[in-house]
Amino acid sequence: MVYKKRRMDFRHKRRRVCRFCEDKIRHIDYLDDRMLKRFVNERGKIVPRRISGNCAFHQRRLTTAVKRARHLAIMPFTSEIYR
Amino acid sequence: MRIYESTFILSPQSDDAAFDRQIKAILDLIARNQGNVLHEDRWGIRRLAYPIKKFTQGFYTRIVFEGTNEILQAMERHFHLEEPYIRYLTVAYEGKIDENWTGAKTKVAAEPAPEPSVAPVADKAPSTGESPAAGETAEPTPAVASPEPVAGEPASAPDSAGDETKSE
Repeated sequence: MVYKKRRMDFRHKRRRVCRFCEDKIRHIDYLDDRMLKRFVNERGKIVPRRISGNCAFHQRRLTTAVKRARHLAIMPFTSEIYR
Repeated sequence: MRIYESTFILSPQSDDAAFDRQIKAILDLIARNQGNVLHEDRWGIRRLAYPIKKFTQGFYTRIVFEGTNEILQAMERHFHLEEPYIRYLTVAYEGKIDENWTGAKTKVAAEPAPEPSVAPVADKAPSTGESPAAGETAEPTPAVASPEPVAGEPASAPDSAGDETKSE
């Protein structure tokens, strides 16, 4: 007999609010590397929305902001220094 | 006339007058063509996140101005052709301009290395007892891996900024 065992879905446990929505920030500054660094992992990659908790709107804005910052050498494209 | 924001990087030179001249060239270009510079923000020399044209530092400047697209085209041409401008980015200005507008942005000072300047060191914490509430830290969670020099406790958690009640 085949019985399906559902593993618990841990993904949607915490319904964190988007940090930007909470503070009612619309504009994400691409020149503020300190803030942008929070949404980028150690290798310099942009953190996915399911980890950062951002809403779709702000995640898109954040992504453009990070990419602009990368263009202006305010943030690195990759920071894989030690391996 | 639209409002734009342009950030550009000049190659680092030993001469402040040269920076001045190069920035003025842009400002004049705008003014000459009936544009209007609303704000100018010079960041100074800052370390680049990656080398550009072999330089590791650059002089950052940001201006907010009002102009036409002819001005934009002229600027881009200038940036592209002239040597000292090693990077530039012009975008439509985001944000409202009202009577309270200062033009300033949340700007990181031109410091070479990112340092966690916000977190007070554990033992020297001002006695106002920074909110030790777990999970309420305003500090960035991806490891701002600063080894706490004085605390001496193994920084076990990335949010070590919240552990300030343990002084002495």
